[in-house]
Amino acid sequence: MNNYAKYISCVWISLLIILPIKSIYIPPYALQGEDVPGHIIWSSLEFKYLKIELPEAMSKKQLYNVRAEMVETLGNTIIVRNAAIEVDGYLGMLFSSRKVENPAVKGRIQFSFMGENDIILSKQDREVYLFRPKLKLGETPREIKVDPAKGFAYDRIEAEKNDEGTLLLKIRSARSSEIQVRTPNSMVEYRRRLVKNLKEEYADVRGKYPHYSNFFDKYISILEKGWRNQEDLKTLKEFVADTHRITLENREFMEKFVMALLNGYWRSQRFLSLPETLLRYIESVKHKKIWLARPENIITVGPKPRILKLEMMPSDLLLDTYDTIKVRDIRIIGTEAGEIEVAKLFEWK
Amino acid sequence: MEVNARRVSCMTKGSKNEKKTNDIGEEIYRILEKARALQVESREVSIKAPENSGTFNAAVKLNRGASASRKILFPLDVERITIHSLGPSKFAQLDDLVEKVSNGFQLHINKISKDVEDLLLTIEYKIQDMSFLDNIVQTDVAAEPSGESDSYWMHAQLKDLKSFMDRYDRWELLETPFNVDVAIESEVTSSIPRYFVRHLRLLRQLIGARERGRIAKLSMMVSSSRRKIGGDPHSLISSLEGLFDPTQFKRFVEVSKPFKYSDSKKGGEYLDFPTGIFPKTMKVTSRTKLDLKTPASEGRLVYKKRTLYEEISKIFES
Repeated sequence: MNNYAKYISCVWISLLIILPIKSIYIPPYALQGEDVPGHIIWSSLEFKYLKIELPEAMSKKQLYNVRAEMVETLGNTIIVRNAAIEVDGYLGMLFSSRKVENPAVKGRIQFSFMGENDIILSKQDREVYLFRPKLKLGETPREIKVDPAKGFAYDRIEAEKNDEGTLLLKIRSARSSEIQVRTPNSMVEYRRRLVKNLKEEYADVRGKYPHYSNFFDKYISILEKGWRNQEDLKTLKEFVADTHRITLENREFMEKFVMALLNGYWRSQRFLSLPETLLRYIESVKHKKIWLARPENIITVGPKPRILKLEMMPSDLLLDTYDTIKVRDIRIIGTEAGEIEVAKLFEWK
Repeated sequence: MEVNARRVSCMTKGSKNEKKTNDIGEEIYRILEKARALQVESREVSIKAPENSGTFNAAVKLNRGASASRKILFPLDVERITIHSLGPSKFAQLDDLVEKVSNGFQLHINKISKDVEDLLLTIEYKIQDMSFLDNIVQTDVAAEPSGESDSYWMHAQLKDLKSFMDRYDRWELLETPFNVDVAIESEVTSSIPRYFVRHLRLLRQLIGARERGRIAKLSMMVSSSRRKIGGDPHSLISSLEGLFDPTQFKRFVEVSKPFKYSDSKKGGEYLDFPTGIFPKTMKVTSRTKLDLKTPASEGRLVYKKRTLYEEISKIFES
């Protein structure tokens, strides 16, 4: 068969074949690092194998309704032989995506149903847009003068975020920093009372469900310690996974757990008024989907200049870790002795 | 060959599949397969996710000639077993065949009248532990929309369609749950007027002030900014908080078929500390159905952010 005839037969067969493919679904976008599911549904389609070609940032995680031993993976190409399909007409898919240098990439997944002699029976593709948040520092002054009474910084560190994805951000001081970022005393006290109230509210639940004590203790540990390093992010991630598992495993316990937390929070409200709670909420959200962890954290300043060494720990809604951003050393001078929220040293863009 | 091999694997004690599941339906399947006095003609299972319950229907033929036990024990924590005749007196309920015993239910084959050959067994049971859902269905939802989009994708797919097709004539998982964390913080923070935020900051400064002169100055500033607000700040904040009540919040999401909206509650408590009262995300639960003919399903949740923005703005305007 010459090439032209081969081409014509491909087109003809493709037209006949396209209808039996009922649906190919791949979500249009995903956060880099997120799993990308999908499926193909077809009927009465005689094919020899299905070729799936993945973009660079994706790889196979799991295929469903196939005999795994009959699936070949060659780099980013997956070959699913017809004989590998357990129940004809359905292929379930789960791909992994990974974080890449470019925070906004468009990937194309190609699906080719192949017949005898490698004739393409049907070729379709789906585009998936993979994005992630990215933060970069702009101008960083060598010296910042702050007025703690007004809560104002006369110069600020420029922090610029791209348009995509939510950025969770923890700002901390390096160990060697002369000025340390710390929690205000009022919040330390509030947190102490909150934990006490939560433990009291949970006491009965703990008695009834002793095997879930670790789950509650992990929650308390997250509240007390906050998110200080990458290890804490891992704990947070585990906590999210545990929440999902236990919700399915024992709904009754989960309802009691949530109720105990709600009661604990309500009892603690007299230590943190409703207006103050709202204000802290507003202050924790910065421009372009930046969520600050512990926005209330402060530094102590005075007229004598001291060096501040800041580190920024970004994460995203998958609670994945990113490289820590080190801010260059800054001399901080206060117009008077006092405290200022560390977030006020930044200009968010 | 393949079908038989898979059946054995499902029924073998301690097999991979048995360890994975806590589904009473699997146990019922095993008991019926072993009961030589019955020949199972068809099996149907329906799992209702929100109710944590299942129904197992089996059409059985009596094997009167078999040298089998005349009693079949279901040592399970089932809610109810009902039996209907499919024979001459069609759909007559045969309650006296079922006896509740200390460890479950017992079915008395010897009490069945001779003219009845076919029966329909309906076994209803509670599923205390739904974690087996993770082993049979893969559910995924978008962590967040891209850019300015307000749509979250949702996807469900059966992991092992063949094992259900081999065992059941009909199998369905009703109302598979999906939790989408809808980020609402932008609308909340951008819709609260600046003068209101300024008022809150002044209140904070007043509470923290120690010097008499400063207290007097801040008090004047607070009462001046209070006049601008119009209403009682506490009641405005309470009204704002009310929007996160599930009955209110459902107005701000739209779920496309074959998914449907089920519930919503404040989400992301662990990230929000200490501001759990005002959530950055709302956890919205949607549901869909999967069965042997529909092994996969995709849907969309649209967050009506403009509507929420306008609702919050209205609170502060009034």
